[in-house]
Amino acid sequence: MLSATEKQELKGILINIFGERARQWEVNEDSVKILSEVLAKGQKCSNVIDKLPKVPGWIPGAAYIPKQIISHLYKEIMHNPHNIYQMCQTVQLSPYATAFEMASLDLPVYLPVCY
Amino acid sequence: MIVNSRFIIICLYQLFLVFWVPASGHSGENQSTACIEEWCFLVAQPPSAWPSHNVKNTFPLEEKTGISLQIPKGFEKIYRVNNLFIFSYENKKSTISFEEISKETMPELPNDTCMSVKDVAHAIFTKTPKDPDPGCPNLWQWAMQSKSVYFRKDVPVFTANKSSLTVYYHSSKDKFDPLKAGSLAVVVNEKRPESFLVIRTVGFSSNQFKNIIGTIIEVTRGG
Repeated sequence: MLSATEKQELKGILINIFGERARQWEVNEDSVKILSEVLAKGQKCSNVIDKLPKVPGWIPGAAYIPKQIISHLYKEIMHNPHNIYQMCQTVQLSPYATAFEMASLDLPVYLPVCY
Repeated sequence: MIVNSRFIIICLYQLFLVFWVPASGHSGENQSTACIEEWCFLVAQPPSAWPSHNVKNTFPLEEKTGISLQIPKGFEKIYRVNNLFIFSYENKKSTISFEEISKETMPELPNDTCMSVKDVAHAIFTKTPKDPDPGCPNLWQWAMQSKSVYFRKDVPVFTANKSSLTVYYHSSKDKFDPLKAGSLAVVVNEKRPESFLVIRTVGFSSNQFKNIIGTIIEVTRGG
């Protein structure tokens, strides 16, 4: 179960990646799974994601995201105006936006969104 | 003196390798180099028979991309979000969603003109980065990147044709919940070259999904 702070930080991360449309999204456990997959895809092209702190037992793409990873990403985007994904020309974000919309409505999401 | 010159040239070459290789490796600017994943090189199966279907207990739908189809009766709610239409069943346990992809619904679609949107759809399923770019570098790149949405390891993508329609489709299991099946189809109508339709189901069996795909027909009006 996500705390209010985690939800707020997750929303901030999603707005950074997807823009203003993400402001309307409700975040929940499925949103976390989708974001974890987004982080896994971005590892090869985003400096911000590439330099996530190492958390024992966790890798991007797992079904959860540790609290310290969410906080780290949130602080990073608060201190740096650049988009987390600004270098990621190889990641298709639109299917993920659709998945976040579905999760926001509490509808089942089919994962992985991208292979 | 000759030895010294050669030595300097070799050192310069090595310096070039040290600085150039990491820079190009992280930027993702050269897509033909960046796209080395398995999904980049997968294509759909050759066309086979259009899936058979049964229209018992179904509800007719007509889509603006020029097709109509039958979905199972009994949906409880219809959601409309941007270019998404979603039908939910069984207290949100299963869904059928329709997403129209066109330059109007997806502003981030590159604005090249030498490929229509339907050409992009066909390229996703029938081409790989090894094929020549038809002269639309941005749309071509977008199509090649989109392969990651539609191809899965060990999950074949099937193709079927009927009059002006081509459907590419697959069924797979959820990464975190293998009991949950997700299926996906892309419907291309040659008569509507500036769009294609993505149909996704979650919580329906592969056979139920194929039955939905089987009911797809082209809408013709005005003779």
